[in-house]
Amino acid sequence: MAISIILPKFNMNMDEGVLLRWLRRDGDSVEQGDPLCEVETDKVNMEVEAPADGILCRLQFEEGAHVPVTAVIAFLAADAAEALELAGDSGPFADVAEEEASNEAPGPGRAGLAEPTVEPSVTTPSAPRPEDPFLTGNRVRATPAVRRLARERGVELASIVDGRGRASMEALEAAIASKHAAGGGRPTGPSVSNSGLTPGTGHVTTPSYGPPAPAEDLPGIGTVTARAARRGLKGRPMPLDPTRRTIAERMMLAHQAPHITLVREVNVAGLVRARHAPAFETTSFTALFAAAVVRGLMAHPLVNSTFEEGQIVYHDEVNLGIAVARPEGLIVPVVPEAEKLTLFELASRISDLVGRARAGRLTVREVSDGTFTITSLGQAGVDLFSPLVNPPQVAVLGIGRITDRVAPIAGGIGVTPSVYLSLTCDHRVLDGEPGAAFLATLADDLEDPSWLGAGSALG
Amino acid sequence: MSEMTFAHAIRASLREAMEVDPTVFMLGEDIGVYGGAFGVTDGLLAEFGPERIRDTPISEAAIIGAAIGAALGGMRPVAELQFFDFILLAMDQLVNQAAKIHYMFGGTVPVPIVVRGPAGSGTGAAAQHSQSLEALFTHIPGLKVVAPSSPRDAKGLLTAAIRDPNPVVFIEHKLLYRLKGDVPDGEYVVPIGSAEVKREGRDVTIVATQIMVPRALAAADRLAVDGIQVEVVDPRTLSPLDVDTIVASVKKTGHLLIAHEAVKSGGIGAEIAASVVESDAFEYLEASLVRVAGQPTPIPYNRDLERCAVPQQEDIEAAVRKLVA
Repeated sequence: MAISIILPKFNMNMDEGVLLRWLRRDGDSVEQGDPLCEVETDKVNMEVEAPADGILCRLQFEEGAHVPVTAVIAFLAADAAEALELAGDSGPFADVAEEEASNEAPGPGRAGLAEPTVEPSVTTPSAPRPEDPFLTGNRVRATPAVRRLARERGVELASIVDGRGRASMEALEAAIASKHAAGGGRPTGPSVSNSGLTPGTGHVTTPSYGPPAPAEDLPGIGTVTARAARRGLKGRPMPLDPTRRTIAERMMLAHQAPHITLVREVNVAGLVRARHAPAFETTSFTALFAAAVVRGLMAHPLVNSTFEEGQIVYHDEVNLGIAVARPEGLIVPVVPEAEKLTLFELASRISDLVGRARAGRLTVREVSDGTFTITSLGQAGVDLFSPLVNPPQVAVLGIGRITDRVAPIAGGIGVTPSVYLSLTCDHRVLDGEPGAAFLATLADDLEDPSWLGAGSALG
Repeated sequence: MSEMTFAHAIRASLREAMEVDPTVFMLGEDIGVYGGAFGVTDGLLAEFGPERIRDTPISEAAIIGAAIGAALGGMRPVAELQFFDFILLAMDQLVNQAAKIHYMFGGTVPVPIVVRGPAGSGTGAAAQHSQSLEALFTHIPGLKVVAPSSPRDAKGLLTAAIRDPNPVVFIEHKLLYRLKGDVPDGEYVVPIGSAEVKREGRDVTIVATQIMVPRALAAADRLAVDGIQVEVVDPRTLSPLDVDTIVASVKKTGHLLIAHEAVKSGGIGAEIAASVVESDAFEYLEASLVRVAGQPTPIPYNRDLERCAVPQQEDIEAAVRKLVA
């Protein structure tokens, strides 16, 4: 009996993944555990492994397809004969449909005895069930208009269904737009810089899609955007990739919290001087700020708490998130138990995580369970900004640029490097005063970095 | 072009038809001296005399039967029902005789009668004087069923009905009688079997009949404020139904709402819905179609309950919002 291979739910928030690349081809012999394809999920890439030994056949999705979790992506035949038999089936999902039909028609041996319905096991990719009646071609819920447009544009309905098995017009329009954008393959470099968006600033563009194309280059786009046109809008719909969608969802969630932002200018003349010492030459400012933050959080545990299910949860460890801008969107790798590290260990961990974040090589664990986040737009030339708290965390620190500023010094006017720190607090948990106390500790440590020399753990 | 009420437009059509065609005459209860229960024939007795404006006994079977006989004898009678509910007393004459004769005699005998009168609720006339029975007639081959919503359509369609060689059931909603609108001067015809787009829009098609047309137009005004562009199609003739106009509109908007006062179950809305789903407009539907229609109850005497029993403007508006949400 052939085994159907489904797209596993790699994490709790995942509804779909983008099938980036098939690593094995139709007809390949594979062993249990072999990676079969690479899938982009919310922010990180995962591999789907072969649940057993066999011959991979009947790949159901092309590379680039948006695939709902638990959708059958391919089949695994036990031997060559079965692979041939599967390949000869009338069409995609045919065997699943037949299985379904045979379940519906009770044979003589079990007349009147209904087969128990087997719910698809969405979290155990190693045990897919070929009899799963889930998401077969004839089970997708879609309006007639969606079915017609999908047929005309060659979009497989199963590839755009949501978690409830429904293919919406919005998803279809997005899929058509994305199909077209992907097929267009336009070069992007010059126009991206023309648009004024600098990669790495936290402002996100999707360079691979290129600039808006003239309408005549987009066959059928007129009908696709009919809904938008009705509202008087002109434009080209672009589906959110999983990263963008995760950011959108997280930010909306974050936005619901009552935020206050406390701002403090900190004189960093001492810190700048300290960094010029040979010992710290290779240590980034980010790492120095991170180290100060870890110390501050140990002294102010409420700032390091999380707000979950109506409770404040205190944490002994500081899992420090560092926001990293990438062209495809913001990501926040986490340094776990940062309080146990020395400054140099912390610096090296941050450097490693940031590098892999930019390369898209983080694991799910490495972006999970942060207790506090720091984010900097200093290198992008921003003096001061108000970041959003990433729930369930209760605060986030924004770091502006370090630059020479006019300041009163010893009764006169002088020039000294300074930085604006902005602490955004979830006011449900963190009031202004305790937030300000944390900022004060941080400012003291940064203005007088004499602690930097210590080779012991930060906590 | 002059402004007049729906009732005046019908009287104008009757007057012009009787002026140009001596075979046209009217018969009905209290249509002469009294001028009709809703005043539609007021003054016609003085103009045309008792030969052509004939008061009848209180017997609907006799009215329709006499009209059929006169039609077979070469006349073009227009029979008024005091309330459309009373047609039930004359259903044998209408359905078994008028609708069949043309067919049963091999097309050699026309039966050019018009059966017209007031229908619908909204006047506190209770269960036996407020019904919308049009679906009874649309089910009968051989009957044409006309149900206009504006003075202009009323006059043009009644003229077409009087000229039609076979039976036409002409339904006038009571609440429309006082509706004013521009009406072209002189004789003109609105063809039977032709719908009209009363308002153009891109988002939702409302197919509305009779009193639901002005309610749908008012709802469309309010919805337009929120950017929802409603197209309102009035079939004007319920049998034969102008499916093409409805289908074209649904293909444009992808959303269909059908509004009529008659009870929803088995109503004309079911026929319209089925016609759309059978057509190529099916593949343009972006959501299930919706019927907004009368409750399954006799029309109550109590004014508040009466209002609840049939769709109002706000019901149509709410249903559209839900449909495009």
